[in-house]
Amino acid sequence: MVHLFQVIFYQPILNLLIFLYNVVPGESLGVAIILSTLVIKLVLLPLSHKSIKAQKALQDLQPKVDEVKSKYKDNKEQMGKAMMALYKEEKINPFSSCFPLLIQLPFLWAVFRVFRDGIESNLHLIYSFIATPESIHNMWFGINLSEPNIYLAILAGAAQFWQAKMMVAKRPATQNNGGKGDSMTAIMNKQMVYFMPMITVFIGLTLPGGLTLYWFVVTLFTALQQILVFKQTKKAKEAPVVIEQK
Amino acid sequence: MLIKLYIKKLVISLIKIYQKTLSFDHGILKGFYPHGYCRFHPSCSEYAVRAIDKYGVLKGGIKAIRRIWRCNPWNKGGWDPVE
Repeated sequence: MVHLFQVIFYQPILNLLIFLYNVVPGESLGVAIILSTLVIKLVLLPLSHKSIKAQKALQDLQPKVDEVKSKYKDNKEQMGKAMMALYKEEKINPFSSCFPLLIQLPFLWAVFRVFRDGIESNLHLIYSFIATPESIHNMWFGINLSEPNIYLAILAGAAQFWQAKMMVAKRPATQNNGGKGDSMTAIMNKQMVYFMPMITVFIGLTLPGGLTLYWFVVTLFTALQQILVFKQTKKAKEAPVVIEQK
Repeated sequence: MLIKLYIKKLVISLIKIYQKTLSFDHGILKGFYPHGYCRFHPSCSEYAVRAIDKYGVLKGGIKAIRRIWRCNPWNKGGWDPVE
Protein backbone atom coordinates (compact mmCIF):
# COMPACT_ATOMS: atom_id res chain seq x y z
CA MET A 1 0.00 0.00 0.00
CA VAL A 2 2.78 2.42 0.95
CA HIS A 3 4.76 1.31 -2.08
CA LEU A 4 1.74 1.81 -4.34
CA PHE A 5 1.31 5.34 -3.02
CA GLN A 6 4.98 5.99 -3.68
CA VAL A 7 4.75 4.78 -7.29
CA ILE A 8 1.46 6.52 -8.12
CA PHE A 9 1.82 9.90 -6.40
CA TYR A 10 5.14 10.50 -4.72
CA GLN A 11 7.50 9.43 -7.49
CA PRO A 12 5.81 11.32 -10.37
CA ILE A 13 5.65 14.52 -8.31
CA LEU A 14 9.29 14.21 -7.27
CA ASN A 15 10.32 13.56 -10.87
CA LEU A 16 8.26 16.43 -12.21
CA LEU A 17 9.93 18.73 -9.72
CA ILE A 18 13.44 17.53 -10.56
CA PHE A 19 12.70 17.65 -14.29
CA LEU A 20 11.55 21.28 -14.07
CA TYR A 21 14.49 22.07 -11.83
CA ASN A 22 16.82 20.72 -14.52
CA VAL A 23 15.10 22.31 -17.50
CA VAL A 24 14.39 25.82 -16.23
CA PRO A 25 17.53 27.94 -16.34
CA GLY A 26 18.90 29.27 -13.09
CA GLU A 27 18.51 26.07 -11.04
CA SER A 28 15.73 27.58 -8.98
CA LEU A 29 13.72 25.28 -6.74
CA GLY A 30 11.16 28.02 -6.16
CA VAL A 31 10.37 28.35 -9.88
CA ALA A 32 10.28 24.56 -10.19
CA ILE A 33 7.70 24.40 -7.38
CA ILE A 34 5.51 27.06 -8.99
CA LEU A 35 5.64 25.36 -12.40
CA SER A 36 4.92 21.88 -11.02
CA THR A 37 1.98 23.32 -9.07
CA LEU A 38 0.68 24.69 -12.34
CA VAL A 39 1.01 21.26 -13.96
CA ILE A 40 -0.83 19.53 -11.07
CA LYS A 41 -3.54 22.18 -11.19
CA LEU A 42 -3.92 21.67 -14.96
CA VAL A 43 -4.33 17.91 -14.45
CA LEU A 44 -7.13 18.57 -11.97
CA LEU A 45 -8.63 21.39 -14.07
CA PRO A 46 -11.79 19.68 -15.36
CA LEU A 47 -12.77 18.73 -11.81
CA SER A 48 -12.20 22.14 -10.26
CA HIS A 49 -13.82 23.93 -13.20
CA LYS A 50 -17.00 21.93 -12.78
CA SER A 51 -17.02 22.50 -9.00
CA ILE A 52 -16.55 26.27 -9.24
CA LYS A 53 -19.30 26.48 -11.86
CA ALA A 54 -21.68 24.56 -9.61
CA GLN A 55 -20.84 26.80 -6.65
CA LYS A 56 -21.45 29.88 -8.76
CA ALA A 57 -24.81 28.59 -9.96
CA LEU A 58 -25.77 27.93 -6.37
CA GLN A 59 -24.90 31.48 -5.40
CA ASP A 60 -26.90 32.98 -8.23
CA LEU A 61 -29.87 31.05 -6.96
CA GLN A 62 -29.54 32.52 -3.45
CA PRO A 63 -32.37 35.10 -3.79
CA LYS A 64 -34.81 32.34 -4.70
CA VAL A 65 -33.49 30.17 -1.87
CA ASP A 66 -34.03 33.03 0.57
CA GLU A 67 -37.55 33.46 -0.74
CA VAL A 68 -38.33 29.80 -0.11
CA LYS A 69 -36.72 30.03 3.33
CA SER A 70 -38.83 32.98 4.46
CA LYS A 71 -41.98 31.43 2.99
CA TYR A 72 -41.60 28.20 4.96
CA LYS A 73 -39.72 29.47 7.95
CA ASP A 74 -42.08 27.80 10.44
CA ASN A 75 -41.99 24.43 8.75
CA LYS A 76 -38.53 22.93 8.36
CA GLU A 77 -39.71 19.83 6.55
CA GLN A 78 -41.72 21.78 4.00
CA MET A 79 -38.78 24.12 3.53
CA GLY A 80 -36.42 21.25 2.75
CA LYS A 81 -38.87 19.82 0.23
CA ALA A 82 -39.45 23.17 -1.44
CA MET A 83 -35.69 23.77 -1.68
CA MET A 84 -35.07 20.40 -3.27
CA ALA A 85 -37.86 21.12 -5.76
CA LEU A 86 -36.25 24.47 -6.55
CA TYR A 87 -32.86 22.87 -7.16
CA LYS A 88 -34.46 20.26 -9.36
CA GLU A 89 -36.35 22.86 -11.33
CA GLU A 90 -33.20 24.91 -11.90
CA LYS A 91 -31.23 21.75 -12.66
CA ILE A 92 -28.68 22.56 -9.98
CA ASN A 93 -27.08 20.04 -7.68
CA PRO A 94 -26.48 21.82 -4.37
CA PHE A 95 -23.97 19.24 -3.19
CA SER A 96 -20.25 19.18 -3.64
CA SER A 97 -18.45 15.90 -4.22
CA CYS A 98 -15.88 13.89 -2.34
CA PHE A 99 -13.58 12.78 -5.15
CA PRO A 100 -12.17 16.21 -6.12
CA LEU A 101 -11.52 16.93 -2.45
CA LEU A 102 -9.96 13.60 -1.58
CA ILE A 103 -7.79 13.34 -4.70
CA GLN A 104 -6.00 16.47 -3.50
CA LEU A 105 -5.03 14.91 -0.18
CA PRO A 106 -2.54 12.37 -1.61
CA PHE A 107 -1.07 15.12 -3.77
CA LEU A 108 -0.65 17.31 -0.71
CA TRP A 109 0.88 14.45 1.24
CA ALA A 110 3.27 13.61 -1.61
CA VAL A 111 4.37 17.23 -1.94
CA PHE A 112 4.78 17.37 1.84
CA ARG A 113 7.02 14.31 1.80
CA VAL A 114 9.10 15.67 -1.07
CA PHE A 115 10.00 18.64 1.12
CA ARG A 116 10.06 16.96 4.51
CA ASP A 117 12.50 14.25 3.47
CA GLY A 118 14.56 16.59 1.37
CA ILE A 119 15.15 15.85 -2.27
CA GLU A 120 18.74 14.67 -1.76
CA SER A 121 17.74 11.62 0.25
CA ASN A 122 15.42 10.36 -2.49
CA LEU A 123 17.51 10.72 -5.59
CA HIS A 124 17.34 6.95 -6.23
CA LEU A 125 13.61 7.39 -6.97
CA ILE A 126 14.28 9.58 -9.99
CA TYR A 127 13.43 7.92 -13.31
CA SER A 128 16.37 6.87 -15.45
CA PHE A 129 15.52 9.29 -18.28
CA ILE A 130 15.72 12.31 -16.03
CA ALA A 131 19.13 13.71 -15.19
CA THR A 132 20.06 13.63 -11.53
CA PRO A 133 21.24 17.03 -10.36
CA GLU A 134 24.43 17.08 -8.31
CA SER A 135 22.91 19.26 -5.66
CA ILE A 136 19.66 21.12 -5.06
CA HIS A 137 19.72 24.77 -4.10
CA ASN A 138 17.12 25.27 -1.42
CA MET A 139 17.46 29.02 -1.34
CA TRP A 140 15.08 31.24 -3.30
CA PHE A 141 14.97 35.04 -2.91
CA GLY A 142 16.77 34.57 0.39
CA ILE A 143 14.14 32.08 1.59
CA ASN A 144 15.18 28.58 2.64
CA LEU A 145 12.44 26.40 1.16
CA SER A 146 13.16 23.43 3.43
CA GLU A 147 12.42 25.45 6.58
CA PRO A 148 9.23 27.17 7.73
CA ASN A 149 8.93 30.73 6.53
CA ILE A 150 6.63 33.39 7.97
CA TYR A 151 6.31 35.46 4.77
CA LEU A 152 5.18 32.51 2.68
CA ALA A 153 2.70 31.54 5.42
CA ILE A 154 1.21 35.05 5.42
CA LEU A 155 1.08 35.07 1.61
CA ALA A 156 -0.78 31.74 1.63
CA GLY A 157 -3.25 33.10 4.20
CA ALA A 158 -3.75 36.29 2.19
CA ALA A 159 -4.45 34.32 -1.00
CA GLN A 160 -6.96 32.19 0.87
CA PHE A 161 -8.65 35.32 2.22
CA TRP A 162 -8.92 36.80 -1.26
CA GLN A 163 -10.31 33.60 -2.74
CA ALA A 164 -12.93 33.10 0.00
CA LYS A 165 -13.90 36.77 -0.01
CA MET A 166 -14.51 36.65 -3.75
CA MET A 167 -16.79 33.63 -3.40
CA VAL A 168 -18.81 35.23 -0.62
CA ALA A 169 -18.93 38.75 -2.08
CA LYS A 170 -20.90 37.43 -5.05
CA ARG A 171 -23.80 36.56 -2.77
CA PRO A 172 -26.73 38.93 -3.19
CA ALA A 173 -27.29 41.75 -0.72
CA THR A 174 -30.80 40.60 0.23
CA GLN A 175 -29.18 38.50 2.91
CA ASN A 176 -28.21 41.51 4.98
CA ASN A 177 -31.61 43.11 5.39
CA GLY A 178 -33.65 39.94 4.91
CA GLY A 179 -34.71 37.01 7.06
CA LYS A 180 -33.19 36.11 10.39
CA GLY A 181 -32.77 32.50 9.38
CA ASP A 182 -29.83 33.50 7.23
CA SER A 183 -27.73 34.77 10.11
CA MET A 184 -26.29 31.27 10.45
CA THR A 185 -25.13 31.29 6.84
CA ALA A 186 -23.67 34.75 7.37
CA ILE A 187 -21.69 33.53 10.39
CA MET A 188 -20.39 30.57 8.43
CA ASN A 189 -19.37 32.83 5.56
CA LYS A 190 -17.51 35.05 8.00
CA GLN A 191 -15.69 32.04 9.39
CA MET A 192 -14.80 30.89 5.91
CA VAL A 193 -13.40 34.31 5.06
CA TYR A 194 -11.54 35.17 8.28
CA PHE A 195 -11.00 31.99 10.27
CA MET A 196 -9.71 29.64 7.59
CA PRO A 197 -6.97 32.01 6.32
CA MET A 198 -5.77 32.38 9.91
CA ILE A 199 -5.55 28.62 10.26
CA THR A 200 -3.66 28.52 6.97
CA VAL A 201 -1.09 30.99 8.35
CA PHE A 202 -0.63 29.00 11.57
CA ILE A 203 -0.28 25.67 9.78
CA GLY A 204 1.97 27.31 7.20
CA LEU A 205 4.30 28.42 9.99
CA THR A 206 5.02 24.80 10.90
CA LEU A 207 5.57 23.41 7.38
CA PRO A 208 8.62 23.56 5.11
CA GLY A 209 8.59 26.76 3.04
CA GLY A 210 8.37 24.79 -0.21
CA LEU A 211 5.07 23.27 0.84
CA THR A 212 3.67 26.62 1.95
CA LEU A 213 4.74 28.04 -1.40
CA TYR A 214 2.86 25.18 -3.09
CA TRP A 215 -0.25 25.98 -1.04
CA PHE A 216 0.02 29.68 -1.84
CA VAL A 217 0.30 29.02 -5.58
CA VAL A 218 -2.60 26.53 -5.57
CA THR A 219 -4.87 29.03 -3.83
CA LEU A 220 -3.78 31.83 -6.14
CA PHE A 221 -4.54 29.74 -9.23
CA THR A 222 -7.91 28.73 -7.81
CA ALA A 223 -8.76 32.40 -7.25
CA LEU A 224 -7.75 33.30 -10.81
CA GLN A 225 -9.78 30.37 -12.11
CA GLN A 226 -12.78 31.68 -10.15
CA ILE A 227 -12.43 35.07 -11.84
CA LEU A 228 -12.39 33.35 -15.23
CA VAL A 229 -15.41 31.13 -14.51
CA PHE A 230 -17.39 34.07 -13.10
CA LYS A 231 -16.66 36.09 -16.23
CA GLN A 232 -17.67 33.21 -18.47
CA THR A 233 -21.02 32.65 -16.76
CA LYS A 234 -21.68 36.39 -16.84
CA LYS A 235 -21.11 36.47 -20.59
CA ALA A 236 -23.31 33.45 -21.12
CA LYS A 237 -26.11 35.24 -19.29
CA GLU A 238 -25.75 38.49 -21.17
CA ALA A 239 -25.75 36.83 -24.56
CA PRO A 240 -29.54 36.17 -24.90
CA VAL A 241 -30.30 39.79 -23.96
CA VAL A 242 -28.18 41.01 -26.85
CA ILE A 243 -30.08 38.80 -29.26
CA GLU A 244 -33.41 40.14 -28.02
CA GLN A 245 -32.35 43.70 -28.62
CA LYS A 246 -31.70 43.00 -32.25
CA MET B 1 -8.42 -14.15 12.68
CA LEU B 2 -8.20 -11.90 15.72
CA ILE B 3 -5.64 -9.70 14.00
CA LYS B 4 -8.07 -9.19 11.12
CA LEU B 5 -10.63 -7.92 13.56
CA TYR B 6 -8.12 -5.52 15.06
CA ILE B 7 -7.15 -4.13 11.65
CA LYS B 8 -10.81 -3.66 10.82
CA LYS B 9 -11.45 -1.83 14.08
CA LEU B 10 -8.37 0.32 13.50
CA VAL B 11 -9.39 1.32 9.96
CA ILE B 12 -12.94 2.11 11.06
CA SER B 13 -11.72 4.25 13.94
CA LEU B 14 -9.37 6.11 11.57
CA ILE B 15 -12.34 6.95 9.34
CA LYS B 16 -14.29 8.04 12.43
CA ILE B 17 -11.42 10.35 13.42
CA TYR B 18 -11.58 11.81 9.90
CA GLN B 19 -15.33 12.30 10.34
CA LYS B 20 -14.87 14.18 13.61
CA THR B 21 -12.09 16.45 12.31
CA LEU B 22 -11.72 17.10 8.59
CA SER B 23 -15.08 15.98 7.21
CA PHE B 24 -17.49 18.63 5.95
CA ASP B 25 -20.38 16.26 6.58
CA HIS B 26 -19.90 15.09 10.16
CA GLY B 27 -17.38 17.00 12.24
CA ILE B 28 -16.65 20.54 13.36
CA LEU B 29 -16.53 21.84 9.77
CA LYS B 30 -20.09 20.68 9.10
CA GLY B 31 -21.48 24.22 9.23
CA PHE B 32 -19.68 25.30 6.08
CA TYR B 33 -21.99 23.18 3.99
CA PRO B 34 -25.52 23.44 5.38
CA HIS B 35 -27.00 20.86 2.99
CA GLY B 36 -24.02 18.58 3.38
CA TYR B 37 -20.94 18.23 1.24
CA CYS B 38 -21.18 14.71 -0.18
CA ARG B 39 -23.70 14.28 -2.97
CA PHE B 40 -24.69 10.85 -1.74
CA HIS B 41 -26.51 9.62 1.28
CA PRO B 42 -25.09 8.06 3.44
CA SER B 43 -21.93 10.13 2.92
CA CYS B 44 -18.82 8.52 1.46
CA SER B 45 -17.11 8.13 4.83
CA GLU B 46 -20.23 6.65 6.44
CA TYR B 47 -20.54 4.32 3.45
CA ALA B 48 -16.91 3.29 3.95
CA VAL B 49 -17.50 2.49 7.63
CA ARG B 50 -20.54 0.35 6.83
CA ALA B 51 -18.90 -1.38 3.84
CA ILE B 52 -15.77 -2.26 5.83
CA ASP B 53 -17.84 -3.41 8.77
CA LYS B 54 -19.86 -5.70 6.52
CA TYR B 55 -17.32 -6.93 3.95
CA GLY B 56 -13.95 -6.46 5.67
CA VAL B 57 -11.09 -4.08 5.06
CA LEU B 58 -10.12 -5.31 1.59
CA LYS B 59 -13.46 -5.90 -0.12
CA GLY B 60 -15.22 -3.16 1.81
CA GLY B 61 -12.31 -0.82 1.16
CA ILE B 62 -12.55 -1.39 -2.59
CA LYS B 63 -16.29 -0.71 -2.40
CA ALA B 64 -15.55 2.52 -0.55
CA ILE B 65 -12.93 3.63 -3.10
CA ARG B 66 -15.39 2.96 -5.93
CA ARG B 67 -17.98 5.03 -4.10
CA ILE B 68 -15.57 7.97 -3.76
CA TRP B 69 -14.77 7.63 -7.45
CA ARG B 70 -18.49 7.89 -8.20
CA CYS B 71 -18.82 10.97 -5.98
CA ASN B 72 -17.74 13.42 -8.72
CA PRO B 73 -19.43 16.51 -10.18
CA TRP B 74 -20.88 14.53 -13.10
CA ASN B 75 -22.81 12.13 -10.92
CA LYS B 76 -26.34 12.90 -9.80
CA GLY B 77 -25.83 11.49 -6.32
CA GLY B 78 -28.70 10.60 -4.02
CA TRP B 79 -29.57 7.60 -1.89
CA ASP B 80 -26.90 4.93 -2.22
CA PRO B 81 -26.54 2.54 0.73
CA VAL B 82 -24.12 -0.40 1.04
CA GLU B 83 -25.77 -3.35 -0.66
